Amino acid sequence: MNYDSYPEIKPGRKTIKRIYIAVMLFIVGRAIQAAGRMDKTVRKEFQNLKDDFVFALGVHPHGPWMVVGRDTKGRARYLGWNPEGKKIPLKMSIKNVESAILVFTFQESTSVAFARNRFVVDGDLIDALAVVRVLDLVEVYLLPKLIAALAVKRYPKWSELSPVRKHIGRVAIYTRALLGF
Amino acid sequence: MFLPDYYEFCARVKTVAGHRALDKIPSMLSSLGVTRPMIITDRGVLGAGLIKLVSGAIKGSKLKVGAVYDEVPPDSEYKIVNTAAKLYRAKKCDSIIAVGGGSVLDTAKGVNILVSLGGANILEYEGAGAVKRKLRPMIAIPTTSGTGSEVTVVAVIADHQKKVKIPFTSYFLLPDIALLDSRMTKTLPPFLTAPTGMDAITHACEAYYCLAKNPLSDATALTAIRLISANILNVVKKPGDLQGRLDLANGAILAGMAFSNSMVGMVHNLGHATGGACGVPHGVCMSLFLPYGLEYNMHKRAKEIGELLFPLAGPEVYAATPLKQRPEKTIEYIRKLNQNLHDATGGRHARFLKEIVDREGRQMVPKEKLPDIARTAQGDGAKIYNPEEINYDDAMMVLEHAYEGKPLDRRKVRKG
Amino acid sequence: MQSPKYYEFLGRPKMISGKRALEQIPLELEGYGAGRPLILAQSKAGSGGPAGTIIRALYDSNLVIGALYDGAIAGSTSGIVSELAGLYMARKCDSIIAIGGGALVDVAKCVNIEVTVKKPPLQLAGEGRITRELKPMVLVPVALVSGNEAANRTFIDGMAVISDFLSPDIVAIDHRMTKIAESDAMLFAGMIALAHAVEASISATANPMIDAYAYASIRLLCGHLPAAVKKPSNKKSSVAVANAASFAATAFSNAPAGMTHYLAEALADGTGINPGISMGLLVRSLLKARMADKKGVREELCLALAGPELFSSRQESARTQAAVDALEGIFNELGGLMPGSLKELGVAQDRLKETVRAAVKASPSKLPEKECMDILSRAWEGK
Repeated sequence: MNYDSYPEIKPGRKTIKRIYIAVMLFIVGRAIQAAGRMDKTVRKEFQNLKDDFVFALGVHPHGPWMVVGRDTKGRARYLGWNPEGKKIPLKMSIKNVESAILVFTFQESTSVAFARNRFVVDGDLIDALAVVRVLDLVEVYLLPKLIAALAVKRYPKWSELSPVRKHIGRVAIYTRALLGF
Repeated sequence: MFLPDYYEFCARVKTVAGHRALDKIPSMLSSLGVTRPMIITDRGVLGAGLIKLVSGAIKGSKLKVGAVYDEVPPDSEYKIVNTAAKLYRAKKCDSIIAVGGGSVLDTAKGVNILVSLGGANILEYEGAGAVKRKLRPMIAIPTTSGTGSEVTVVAVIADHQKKVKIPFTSYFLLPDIALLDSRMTKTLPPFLTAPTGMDAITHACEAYYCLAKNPLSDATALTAIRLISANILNVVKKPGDLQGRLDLANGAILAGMAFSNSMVGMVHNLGHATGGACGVPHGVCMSLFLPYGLEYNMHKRAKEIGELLFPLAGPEVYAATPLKQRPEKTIEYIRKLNQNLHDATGGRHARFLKEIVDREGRQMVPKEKLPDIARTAQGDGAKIYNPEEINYDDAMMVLEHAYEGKPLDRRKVRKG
Repeated sequence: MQSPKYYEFLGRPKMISGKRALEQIPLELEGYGAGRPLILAQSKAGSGGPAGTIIRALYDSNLVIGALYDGAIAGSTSGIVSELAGLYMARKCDSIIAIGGGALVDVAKCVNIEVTVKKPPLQLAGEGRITRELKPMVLVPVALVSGNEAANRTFIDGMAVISDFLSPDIVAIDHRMTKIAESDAMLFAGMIALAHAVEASISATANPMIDAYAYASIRLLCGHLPAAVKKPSNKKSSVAVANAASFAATAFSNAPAGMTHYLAEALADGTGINPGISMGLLVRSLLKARMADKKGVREELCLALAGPELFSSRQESARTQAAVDALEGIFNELGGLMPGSLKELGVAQDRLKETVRAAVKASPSKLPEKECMDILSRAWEGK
C-alpha cells in the first residue's frame, strides 16, 4: 500500500454559514441589550443576576460568539463578539456550526436543541435558564409570530404581551439594536 | 415505534443483576484492574447490615477495602463530597463501591469527579459538559429500587445554604458497573418501598412523554413500567418477596436508562424544587406530582399518555378501554395506585403535599411555602424538557392543586 | 414478565441518530481526548460517496483526518489489516471512524486491536482475550449487512474475536450515509437484525434489557424495513433500519448466537447464499414451528412482533398467532424482493443434512439437531 495516496486532510471552514451565525449573534446580542431597556421581564431577569454576570453564547470550537453582561446598575449590555480575555462565568456553546444553523434558522427551538443535546453549558444552570427565558422573549420581539411560534414553546397570549406593546417594543428594539444604544 | 429526527442514547453501564450478584464484585473489579476500593454509604445502610454482605462477598479475594465513608446524609451536600474525596486520597484508594440510595450514589459520583480530575471543591465542575474524561472505576449498588442513579449521567448535589440542587451532567458519570442484588433491597420498609418504586415509574412515564424521547428510551421505559407496576403493591405488602424485589430493581434500572437519556419534565421540576425548598424526599415528591405532570401535558401528549396504560394496567384493561379514554384512564390508574399504596402503608405514602409529614409528624410543606417552591422551580433544568412551558404562575397553579390533592383543572392550563 | 435469577448485560455504544449526526463526531472524539482519526469509508464510484460527505461534515472542528482510506476491501484478512494498521501508525492517528458495513467494519476493529494491543488480531481469536479499552471507535452505518458491526465481535481470516471492548464506542447514524445503501444490502441488514433480535429474545439468557433492545429493534423493522428495501433513499426508513440493526447487535452481543444464525452461516459456506436472506427465512420457520408445537413463544417476543395494539386485542392463546401474522406481514409487504423459500434460491434438498451437521459442529453450545433439521426443511419449503 502506498501511504502517500491517502494523505492527511485538514477539514476546512464553512465561511458563509459562520458569517450568517455571526450576524444573528450580533443582532440578538444588541437586541438583548435593547430589550433590557424596553421590556420589564427582561429587565427583571437581569436585575436578579449576580453583579459581575457575563455570558457568552456561540459555536464550538472556533466561534462566532456573542458576549452579554450585566452592568453595575443591573442593565443588560452587549459586550462584543470576542470572549477572549474576559472573565465569563457562563458559557453556552452550541456543539458545531451545523447545529447552530438549525437553531438560528429556527428549525429547532431552544428547548428542542437542549433536548437534543446540542448545547454545552459551562457554568451555573440557574443562570443559564434565565438566559434561555431572555432569549425566548427576544425572539418574540424580533421575529414575526409565524416563526417565533416555532422557536418558543408557548407564544405569549394577548394578556401577557399585548400586540401594541409587542410592536412598539419590536420597532424600538430593532432601532436600538441596529444603532447600538 | 416513534423515531425522532434526532436523538442520543447512552447507557454504557454493565448491569449485573440477580439474587446473589454481590458475589461478582471481586471478579468485576479485577477486570477493571483495581484492588483497593473505597466504600461510600450511609448510616442506614450500615445499620441494616448491608455493608456486611458486601464485605462478605469481597472476603477471600485479592481486594482490600481502602476506606469506608458512611456519613452520607439523606440529602447529600457538596461539602460531604469534598470531605469524602479527601479521605479517598488519604487512604490511597483506586476505585469506588457506592452502596445506598440516590443520595449515596450521587455523592459517590461527585467524589469520583474530584478524585479523578483533581481539585478540592466539586462546585468547580458544575454544568453540562464540564467533565470530559473517563473517571476512576466505580460500582454502584443501589439499596432502593427507585432513583436509577446507577445508570444516569447526572449527579444531583445540594447546596443547603443556597437551597438549590445542582445537577452535574456527563457521560463519564455513568458507573462502570451497576450491581443489583435482591438482598440489598429486601430490608427496605414498605413506606420507603412505595415512594421509591413510584419514583421509578415516574422516571419511565416522564421519559415517555418528554422532549428527548427516542426508541431506546421508549422501550426501556415500557419494560420498566411493566416490571414495576406488576410488583410494587405486592412487594409493599410482602417485603420479603425476593423475586418481586429483583423485578423492582430491574424496573428501576431500566427506568433510569430511559430518563437519563430522554430527560424529565414538570414532575421532576416541581419535585426537585419541593425537595430543595422543604427537604421532602425525592420519591415522595415524584409519586404525588406524577398525575399532575400527565394532566398538565395532556393537550400536547395525549397519545403517549394513553399508550402508558398498556404497561401500567396490562393488555386486558388496555384493550377494553377505547382509544379516546386511555389518557384519562392512565391518570386514574396512577391515582388509584397511589391510593392503594397509601392504604397498604397505613397512610404513610403521601398522596398530596398537605399530607407530607416528617418523622416528628410535622407538616413539611406548609401552604406559605408554595411560592418559594414555584420560584425555585424556575431555576431547575427539568423545565426545559417538559413539552409545555412552565412559568411561575403555571407552577403555582399546579402546586395549589397538588397541595389539596384535587385533580388539575385542565381549563387553567395555558396551552402553547 | 419476570426477571431471570441472574444476568449480565452491557449496551456499550452511544447512539447518535438523525439530523446532523455526523457533525457531532468531532466533539464526541474530543470527549475521549482524540482528534486524529483514521477513516475507513466504503468506496463508491462516482460522486456522492461517503468520503466527500464525511470530510464536509468535519469542517469547522479541531479534528484533523490522519488518513482517509476508501479503497476496496474485499474481506477481513491479516494482510489488509496490517497494512492499514501501518497507515494508522505512520500518521499518528488516535481513533478510528468506520463508514459502511460488513468486512470494512471487521477490518476497522482488527486495525484497532493491532494498534492498541500491538499484536496481530488473529492471535487474540476467541472470546474475552482482549482485556482493555481500545482506541475510540465510531461506526457510521451504511447498511449493517453482517450484523456484527455494532456488536462485540469482529472476524479475521475467518476467525471470530469476541470482547466487550469490540463494540463501537459511538454509532452515528445519518441519512446522508444510510441512503447510499443498495436495496439488497438493506434487505440483508434488516433480516439479520430481525433474526438476531428474535433469537436473543428466545435465548436462555433473555432478560429485561435484551427484551427492551429487541422490542425497539423489531418494532422499527416492522414499521420501516419494507419501505427501506423498496427505496433506500427514503431518509426516515433507512435511518430506522440502521437503528434497528444497531439495537439488534446489542441484543446479540448479550446472548449466544442461536440456531438460525449457525444454520445460515453453514448454508452460506456451502452455497454462497447471503446469510441475511436465509436467516430471515429460518427465523420465520422457527416461529411457525414453535407455534405449531403449541409451545408458543415468549410473551415478550409476541408483544415486540405484534405491537401493543394487536397484542392486547387478542386473547392470550391467540397472541403467538398474532406475532406470526405480523412477521408474515413484513414478508408480504416485501413481496418479490424477498425470496419465499430456500428451494427458490436453488438450494438442493440433499444439502440440508450437511448444513445441519456443519451448523451443529460450528456452535459452541449444543444445538438440538432434530429441531435444526425441522426448521431448515421448513425454510426450504418456505413454510
